[in-house]
Amino acid sequence: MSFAFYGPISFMDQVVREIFSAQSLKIFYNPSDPVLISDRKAVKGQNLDKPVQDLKRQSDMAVAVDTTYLTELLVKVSEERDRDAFACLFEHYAPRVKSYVFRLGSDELMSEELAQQTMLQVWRKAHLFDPAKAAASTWIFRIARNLRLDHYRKERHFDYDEQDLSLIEDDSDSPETEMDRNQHASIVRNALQRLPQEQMEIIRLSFYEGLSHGEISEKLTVPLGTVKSRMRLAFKKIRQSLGDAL
Amino acid sequence: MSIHHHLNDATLMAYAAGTLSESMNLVAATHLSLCPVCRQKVEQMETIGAGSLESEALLPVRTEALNQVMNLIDLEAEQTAPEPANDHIKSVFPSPLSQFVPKDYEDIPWRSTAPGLKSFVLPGIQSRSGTVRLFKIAPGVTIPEHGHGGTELTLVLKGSFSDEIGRFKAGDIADLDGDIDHQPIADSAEECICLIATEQPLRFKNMVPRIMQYFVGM
Ligand SMILES: [Zn+2]
Repeated sequence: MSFAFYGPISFMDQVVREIFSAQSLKIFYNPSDPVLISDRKAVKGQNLDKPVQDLKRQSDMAVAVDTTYLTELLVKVSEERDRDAFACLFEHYAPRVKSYVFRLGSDELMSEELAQQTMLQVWRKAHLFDPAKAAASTWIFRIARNLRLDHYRKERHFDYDEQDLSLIEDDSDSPETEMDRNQHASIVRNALQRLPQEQMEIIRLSFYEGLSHGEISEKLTVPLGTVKSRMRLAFKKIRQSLGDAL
Repeated sequence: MSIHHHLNDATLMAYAAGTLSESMNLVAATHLSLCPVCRQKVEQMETIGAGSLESEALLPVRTEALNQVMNLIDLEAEQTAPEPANDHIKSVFPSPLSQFVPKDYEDIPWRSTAPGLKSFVLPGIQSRSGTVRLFKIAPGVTIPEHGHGGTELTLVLKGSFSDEIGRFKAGDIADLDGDIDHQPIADSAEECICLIATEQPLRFKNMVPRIMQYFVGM
């Protein structure tokens, strides 16, 4: 019964959050996770009305994602306003966005509401999606992140404007910009798995738990400068792996 | 415009993760609107966030969640989309900033902060304990050496200034940690206009009397 989730929030939330944070930790830290395995079943299921009941099975499949396929779906929504493609994207991303928002501290109800709003934005803004610039997951992450900041944290996140760049000559056409964005996404994820523990930890606290650098510094009792330099080192490694892949 | 001073990678990471405060975020986004180099980095960093989405343990959504969204989509399809209000006068400011300031420099209600220095606090920005403001620094004016309680972002919009780190021209951003002291001077013939966000206002406020005391070249 999915309504069971809407019982007394404090207790259920606590239990569910602990279970899920343990699971996402495990996924995040396990270097043998098959990040690139294609598992289209996760998004191709036709039983859209059937509630997802088997949490364990779902979370096991969570890392196995075919980013190219998902990006193709989003292109279909963008170019053809394809509702079936949208329903597949919804089935794949709505639970993920809900989990993301929930893990960052919202309650069940708000998390689901924001997942729905994120997907509604995906439909509305699909015409702005450019597969040459981002994989579907990156684009949807941006929408979810911004909505969460607006609604939950009540602090806005400002997007830069693509148009402003036309004022300036773009001198950034390194070969990297030519790389397929889906390939790009999987390389970044693989590089993450190989980061030293101390760098992985601050990335996890920042991206998975939504802590600011100052909050990470307090939590780990390391100086703010150390947090920032670990961030820089982690990103340097990720960038190197993108360079190596060329 | 060719940009030589960029956002620190750590600041970009915080922008990508969504953990920058609203005020820092605004200044970072304004630089990103002008800077293809930082923009490319942020796109790479956002892929990390996307990874957190993909490897997420799943909380199921209610059975009717999809249908509810589909119904909204159907409703919207029936209505004709309202034309966005189109302002014909284009703002001279990059887009994230333009919604908080008048369309041109001349229309900004500057307030004198010190001789040779005017400022304008951006309304409607949450800045926790810090501030976001525009500064207009007259040519040749030096701000005495100071440090910052927290990170300070200074984006040059017009003119230029120099300090111990280098020369900052339009589009350049100084992304300074609290432990760096500097002594900026507006170093071109025209006035220098900067957008500055600070995390810690106290040190900054304390600076004002010091500016009054030590100002040179007024
Ligand atoms: Zn830059």
